[in-house]
Amino acid sequence: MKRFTAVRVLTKSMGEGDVGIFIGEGICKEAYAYDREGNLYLPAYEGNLSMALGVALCTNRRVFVYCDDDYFLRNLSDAAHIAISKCENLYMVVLVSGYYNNVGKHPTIYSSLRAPHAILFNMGFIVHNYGRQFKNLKNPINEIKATWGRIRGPLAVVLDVEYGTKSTYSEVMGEQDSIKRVLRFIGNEEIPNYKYVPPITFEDAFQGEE
Amino acid sequence: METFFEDIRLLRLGEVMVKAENFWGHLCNKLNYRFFSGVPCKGLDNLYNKMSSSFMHYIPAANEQIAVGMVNGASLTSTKAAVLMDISKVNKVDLDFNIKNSMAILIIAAGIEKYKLDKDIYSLDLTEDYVSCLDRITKHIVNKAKPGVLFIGEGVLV
Repeated sequence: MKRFTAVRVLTKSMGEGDVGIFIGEGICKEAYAYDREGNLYLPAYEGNLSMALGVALCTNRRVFVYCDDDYFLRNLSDAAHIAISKCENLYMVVLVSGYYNNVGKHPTIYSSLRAPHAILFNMGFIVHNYGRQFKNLKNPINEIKATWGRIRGPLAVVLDVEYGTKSTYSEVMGEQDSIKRVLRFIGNEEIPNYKYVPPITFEDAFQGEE
Repeated sequence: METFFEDIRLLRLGEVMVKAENFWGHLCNKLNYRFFSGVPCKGLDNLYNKMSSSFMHYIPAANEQIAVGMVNGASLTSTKAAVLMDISKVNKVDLDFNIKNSMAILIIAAGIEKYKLDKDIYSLDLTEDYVSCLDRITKHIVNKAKPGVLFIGEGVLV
């Protein structure tokens, strides 16, 4: 299964009020084809994985962050922060192709790691692998939606995808526009949340301070 | 009585001194900055000693880039947030994302001497008039939508 199919299915499995953060040019283009109001498209800069953590800590919406295995390996310490955060509304999705998708067939070291799922588990994640859902089911969207509805984070979804991407995608919306849109989306109380209580609620925590 | 003698002592010393609890009081309760992250720094010891979860939240980070990322994420939820770090690390942190996307970020940095910062980063030294310093830097970074560094020199905070 190609990465663009995985991105399509996982994007459609998110709820109406969820925030989706896509990191990396290729993933952003593939997700932009199924654009949602709550999507944020970010370049593969250092620190963008921890931006998802910052969002999840301060909102009661579910936050899904999508990245490649090469970006994940470069930002392992960000992933460790996510794992120990106990943010039940934060879900990290790693799309493992085993290659640097932007450059050509240069392999990453992910497949050489002895037990990459164990690394995530020992950091503190709940680890899911949805290979079965994609292999045997015609429409995995409903099942993944139901699974995400029952589970609490921090969850790491690791999905093996085949190398390859389409060349026909249009340019993604600008980062600044994407940021402004997500700012409005998160603050819009008319868009329903997933009934999650965040670890810190700023509205209640500091009432009545001098 | 104790605070009276303490104030006299500070006046006689003739040094610029700002009380950490007053600093937090204005930054958190008046300006409503509630979320902080950073890498522990020796020069901010007095600030760390007066932190309290009753008026703010602090998340220590493994490195400065993670702290900046978390603060940027908190800003996306309209929560006012700031980074605490050593001044020598400010130039090593990648703030291009904030500069390019006009995302304001407040950095409170301490150190022995002030380093020359990038021209896109606004900086201000903390003086005894901490109220106007904090008001000025927070207004500037919001109006210009750029990063701002509040430099706290050695011995300024008590």
